[in-house]
Amino acid sequence: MKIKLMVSEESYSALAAELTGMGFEIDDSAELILSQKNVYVGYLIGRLGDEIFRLRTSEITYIESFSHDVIAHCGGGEYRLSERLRRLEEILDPKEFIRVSNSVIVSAGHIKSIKPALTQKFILTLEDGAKVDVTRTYYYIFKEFIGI
Amino acid sequence: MGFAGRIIILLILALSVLFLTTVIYLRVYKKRINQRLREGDFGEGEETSKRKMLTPIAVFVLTLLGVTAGAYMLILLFAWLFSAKSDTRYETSHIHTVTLDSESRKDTLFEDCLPGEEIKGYTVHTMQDGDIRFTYYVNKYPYSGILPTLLISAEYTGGKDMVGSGYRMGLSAPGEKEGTSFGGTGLDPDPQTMTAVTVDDFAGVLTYTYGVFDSGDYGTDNTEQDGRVSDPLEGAAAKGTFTFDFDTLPSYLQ
Repeated sequence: MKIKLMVSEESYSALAAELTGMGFEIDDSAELILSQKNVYVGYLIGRLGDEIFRLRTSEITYIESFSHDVIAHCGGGEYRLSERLRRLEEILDPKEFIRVSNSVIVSAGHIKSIKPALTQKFILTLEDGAKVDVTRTYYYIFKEFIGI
Repeated sequence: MGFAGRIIILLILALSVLFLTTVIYLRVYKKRINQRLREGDFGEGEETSKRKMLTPIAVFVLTLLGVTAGAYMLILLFAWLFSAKSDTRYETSHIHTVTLDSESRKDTLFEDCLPGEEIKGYTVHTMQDGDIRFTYYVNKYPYSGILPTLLISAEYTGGKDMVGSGYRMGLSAPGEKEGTSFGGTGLDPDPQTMTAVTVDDFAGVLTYTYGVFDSGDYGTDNTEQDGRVSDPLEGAAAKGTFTFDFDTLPSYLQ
């Protein structure tokens, strides 16, 4: 059975050896994930066409979902992810990534500017030029996140 | 500029204050939030010592409330400053008198009432002063505003023949020694003539003097002298005075 390990680097080797001994196969694309508390992924697996890429989370600008597809915008490319947004919210570092609407998670480090609107909305301009709205539902969460 | 003009200017000013405050706050808010973005060190669950800013919509609502309250206070101030001032030295009371002789009474509710007879809603009283007998009716419900407060008729009870009559009515406010007075002559000495007096909240004293004349030489000397009208009953063969204090009327609460 394939399993993905999401643990700290110190315990990764020991756990991987133990699980391999028990018959598990360690695979980053596995559906089954073993995760450690307060340890967040440093990269995501994304597909661009037929190719599979290892995307550093620090290079991802934002992630959005279109119906059944979840797209990560990274380095000018659009990579399809296999994880749902809810799951990504859990595995991505909450100090870096924040959900700003029902369909978008942004990387705070890639926000270029914030424009507040009177109608309880923020318009974010990201480093790649994309504009993303912080909707009313996430307005106060974002305000708290920024610390204003 | 009139009161309406001032109100319009005030409303324009209030809207300008609201607009400018909101726009300026939005700019400050934008600057501050972008400054926080540059500072970094944000993150979920972290306690921040940074002072929280009100949202622009909250500032808009608070400014709107403040401006509305301020405008309302200013309107009240304008209304107070520019309203007509009444002379508080004098209470304003409305007093109306009308003389109804037997002919003009025919067209009133008192057509069939002869002096001395009962009138529904009134208490009847008589008083004699010399050769003049006064019959007066006091309204039991004086503040209803429907019927006259007081009806007065005067009759000469002496034995001589009289050819004319006249009256002088004086009204003085409470505590006032000399009030206003008016009167007239030339009436037939008809005992069925009634004077109806209607007052609202006048609490002073009415002095009604009735006189009769035995010759036709009367009513010619009503000229004003030193700001006062001369006595119309001067030269009367007989006269009598009746006074009534309106303060004795039943109050609203009784």
